[in-house]
Amino acid sequence: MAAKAQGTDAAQQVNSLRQSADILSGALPALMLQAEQIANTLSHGEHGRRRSGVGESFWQFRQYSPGDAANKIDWRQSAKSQSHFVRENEWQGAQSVWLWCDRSASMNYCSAFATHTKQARALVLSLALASLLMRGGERIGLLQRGGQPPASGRAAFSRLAENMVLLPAGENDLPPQLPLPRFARLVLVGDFLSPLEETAACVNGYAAKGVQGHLLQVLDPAEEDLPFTGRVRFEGMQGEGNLTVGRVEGLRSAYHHRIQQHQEGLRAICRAAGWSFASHRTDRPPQLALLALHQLLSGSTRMGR
Amino acid sequence: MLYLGPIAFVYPWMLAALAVLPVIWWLLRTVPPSPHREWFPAIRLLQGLRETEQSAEHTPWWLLALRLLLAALLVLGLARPLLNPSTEGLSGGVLIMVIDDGWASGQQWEARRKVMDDMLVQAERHDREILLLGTARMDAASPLPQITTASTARSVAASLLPKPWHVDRGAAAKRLSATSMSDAQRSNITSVWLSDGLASKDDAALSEALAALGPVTVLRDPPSMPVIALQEPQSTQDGFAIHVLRSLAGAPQRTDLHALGEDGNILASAPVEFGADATEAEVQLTLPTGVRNSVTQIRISGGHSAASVWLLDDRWKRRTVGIVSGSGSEAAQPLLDDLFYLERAMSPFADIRKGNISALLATPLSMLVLADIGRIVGEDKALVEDWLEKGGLLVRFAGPHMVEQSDDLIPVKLRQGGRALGGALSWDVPAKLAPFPEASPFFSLPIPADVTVSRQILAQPDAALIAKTWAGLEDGTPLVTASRKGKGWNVLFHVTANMRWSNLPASGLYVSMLQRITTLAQNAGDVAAQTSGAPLGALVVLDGQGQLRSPLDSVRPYVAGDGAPDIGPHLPPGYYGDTVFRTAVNLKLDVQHLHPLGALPETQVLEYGPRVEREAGPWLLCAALILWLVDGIIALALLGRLPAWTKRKFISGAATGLCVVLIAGAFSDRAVAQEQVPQAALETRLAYVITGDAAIDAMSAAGLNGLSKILRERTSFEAATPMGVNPEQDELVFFPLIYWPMTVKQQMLSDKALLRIDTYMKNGGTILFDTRDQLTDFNLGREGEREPGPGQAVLREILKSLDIPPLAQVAEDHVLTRSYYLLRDFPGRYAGGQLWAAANTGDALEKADGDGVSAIVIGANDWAAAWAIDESGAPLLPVEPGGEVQRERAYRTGVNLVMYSLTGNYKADQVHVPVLLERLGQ
Repeated sequence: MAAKAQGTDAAQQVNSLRQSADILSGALPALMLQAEQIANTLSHGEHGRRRSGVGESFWQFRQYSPGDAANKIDWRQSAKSQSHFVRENEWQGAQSVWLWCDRSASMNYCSAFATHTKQARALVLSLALASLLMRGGERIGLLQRGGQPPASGRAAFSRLAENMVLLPAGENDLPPQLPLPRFARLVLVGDFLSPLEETAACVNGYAAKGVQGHLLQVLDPAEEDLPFTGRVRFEGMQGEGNLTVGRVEGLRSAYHHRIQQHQEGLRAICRAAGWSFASHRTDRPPQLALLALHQLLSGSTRMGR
Repeated sequence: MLYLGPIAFVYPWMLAALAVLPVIWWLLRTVPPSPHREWFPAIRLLQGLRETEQSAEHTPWWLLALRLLLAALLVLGLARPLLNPSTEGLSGGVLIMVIDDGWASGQQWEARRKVMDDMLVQAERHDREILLLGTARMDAASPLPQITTASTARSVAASLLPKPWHVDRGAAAKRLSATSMSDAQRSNITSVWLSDGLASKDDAALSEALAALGPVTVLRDPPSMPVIALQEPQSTQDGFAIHVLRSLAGAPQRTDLHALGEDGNILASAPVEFGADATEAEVQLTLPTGVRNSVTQIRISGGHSAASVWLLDDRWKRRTVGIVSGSGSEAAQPLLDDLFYLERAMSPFADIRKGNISALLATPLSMLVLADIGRIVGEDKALVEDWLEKGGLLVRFAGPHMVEQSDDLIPVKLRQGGRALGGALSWDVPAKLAPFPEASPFFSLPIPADVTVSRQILAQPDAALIAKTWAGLEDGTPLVTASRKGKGWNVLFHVTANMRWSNLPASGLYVSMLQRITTLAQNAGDVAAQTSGAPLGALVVLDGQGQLRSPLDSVRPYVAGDGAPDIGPHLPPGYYGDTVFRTAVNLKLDVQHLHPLGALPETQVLEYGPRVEREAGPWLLCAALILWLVDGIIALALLGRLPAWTKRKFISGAATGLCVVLIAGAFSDRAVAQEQVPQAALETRLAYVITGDAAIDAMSAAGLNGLSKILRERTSFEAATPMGVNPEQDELVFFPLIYWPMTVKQQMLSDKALLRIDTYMKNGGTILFDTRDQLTDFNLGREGEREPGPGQAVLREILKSLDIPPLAQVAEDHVLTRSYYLLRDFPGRYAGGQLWAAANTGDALEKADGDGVSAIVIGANDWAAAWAIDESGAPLLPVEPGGEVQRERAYRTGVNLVMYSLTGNYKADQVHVPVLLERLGQ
């Protein structure tokens, strides 16, 4: 009896999930398109790895030097002249990057001073980054329970987008601790408004496994500036309770200080773990944040090898 | 009612609600304004922050004061305060309200009704009983007035209307005394008499009857509003003479008198001017004959009483009478001429034409008088017979020719040879006239004793002779005989039209007889009804405010009698009869002057004036509403729902608003001060020259208005409102066409003005000179030509000092005949005048500056008068002789002129079309 009730509950949950997924997936093509467009604006000027290495496409011939394996010699080329030539292919090193995007309720916020919710902006940024990286040949995975292992290509991108939007969102402000391969890259996008200690625990947990990561904080302008006036009753979006303020103007500078402190704290956590940190406001164009992130990622991969 | 000096409250108990104010104050103090809800994800960061400023927990004191004021205003407003409350009538009891609702009250009826209503409202407040008593003549059988409650009396008074007849205050006094009243009611009575300000013979009776019951207050008009009334219009040579009366002298007064046509269109107007001390004015309305006959009403502009309108019927119409004489011209000795007497006798009431029979009958004619024509010869006879059959009136006078021979177009058979009475060889004396028989149209005309007939022609006696005799001599021989001929009348005077056979033409009877016959002419078919005293049903009647309305059922038919009609409830003034024949019954004043109401004993006399008592409640409630709106805005601002206005933004916004207001004010001042003409540059418009003659300038303005309207409707030229220009001061270059009517009041122009006009004309402007005198022949004063008209004389003076091109009459192939419409002539108010423009002289045209457009166009047809419309778009003046068709052609002329001046002569290129086509073909 109880089991049956549980079953119907689950069925209902799935149903409602599917409904909200339908609603979300309606926006998916637009989201993907937007992400592609933003990625396109950045693809120029970025180059592949112009160096020889393990790969399939021809890179160069070079004179045989002692120590080269005999099977590397390109006999056809060598027959054209006196010396022996070794065929080298271009290095095609694929990096696996894991993405995580905050899907908690607090992300679903859009003040009167912005045009998009934080959620939409975070998704767009994540997908755009994924698209950009996949074009560079990287393999992208989704860091989520029931997520997606790293993969590359058009189909993988679509699947990634689908999973990112449609997989049931956790109520957590922070990513779950999942086993990742060593030296994997991790990109975390969210508002990181949870207490600094929790964030630090999460970041350090991954850093201890040798995972290199990047934190991108997406904030609404209202969250940074507190532009309200007069008597306001603030209500939290994740059951934090509410707070009535008589004159918000009087609170503004103190709040400003507080949020700057919070950001400094996040930056310090990242620095300690060897990670990078960036902040983005939803009233600014997403390209800037994406460019910075992408440069960080591609730079670090280059450095890494 | 609560009286507190200059303020009173109708519902004083409402003021108790003011006690609630402290409670409101306490509530507002303790309850902070409701917060504005806001979702906020970063609430964790907010928690634990200490506010640096003290928050506005409490409503600010000024908002508190505002809301308390709002509540106080609401309470005060609902208590219905009265400013300057009148303390009259506190006593209660019966209020007798006497209302003069005769014709004289129609003028200011709205004011009277308002006073009446105010008084009744006041009486209602004091629960007084009312007795309403109208003084206008009433049916003897109508019910007596009743004492009613004030609210009933209010609804009765609201439906009370002025009556188009006289007041009868004596009868009203009798009705008052016959009204039943209880002793309690009788003990406490006050009276108000809303008088019309005119004296009548029974004033004292009414005031005594009222004074016997209690104190009396009489209201009368202030001296600035006298009652105005018309006397019967008198026909004159060229229109009507009207005597206008007013009741009070004291200040000069000016109004207008209009002659209205059948549709209410104004056919003529004349100013009525009362001098400061005058109570009467004499007005001449001048009208062309054709127009005069279509006048159906004479009305004082803005008059709203039955006496400010005079209805006209056929008796006031002038007939066209043609006169033909058989004897040769005796102009050298006018006293012997037939025509002299006829013309003198008939010209006051008829339009005389002279000529031969065929020429006279070629145009519509009411009456044909043949003096001493024995035999109508040839085709003329057939013409006359035909005309008679259709309803003409032929009046023939005997004479030597008729004694010799006569045709059959006479009512009776004649004996050959005349009869002489009182001659040298005869015993008998010249015969006198017998009294007119009852069937004769001359019946009731007084016969002067000294009218004698010394010679006549005799009729063959037969049975029908008596019936045909309209007038006879004492011996029974006929003097005037008449018979029907088809629809017409054939009348024969058995004497000459001059003094040769009798002294009748020298008497007033001659004029009266001819006038009566003339009356017959117009409505030959209905004379029977008019003379036989048949009852005529009411067609339309005047109401108390001088408007024509359908008659009520209580109106009885009118029987024309000897005396003046007895105007009253059963016979209101108006038209009686049917649409074919109708007779006008007018309210005739039985006095020569309008005397103001004299001093009355034992009464208090007040003037109708503005009401002193005022309701302040609506204003207070309105103020409360505004405060409520202000409070709402402030509340929104406190909640932070208004657009974020920092102090600086607010100040700059206020400053901007102030600037806008100041600039607008400055501009409106500038606009007033600014010269008129630069305005003219903003839009294309027509202009007229201000001549200094106010009537002509007004007509020019109205005329160009009418033409501009037509241009806007029919062409792509969106003409703005026309402007008057004064060449002495104003710049002319902005106007494509300037209309310049010629008047003898035209001032001669200075050199500067002449130079300006010359520049205007040389630079492509066109001036339309209108001499308005309908002269066909225009000349510039060359030797030996005929005398110019008045307008033309002025024009000559002006043109003498201008450099004008050679002029030529506008020919059939001139561009003006086809610049928009295809026209053959250019009529205005008159037709027939020619149009002159610069002569078309080959080379000169090619080189001309203005694209060959003549800088000067001269005509005489008074176009502005034909184009003129009033504010409602109705034409102001009739056009002669072609009526509305001619007006349309006048408009087309105007359109062509404007198009000509605007577009140049490009239509002239049409003449080259055949050549061009031919070239193209090759």
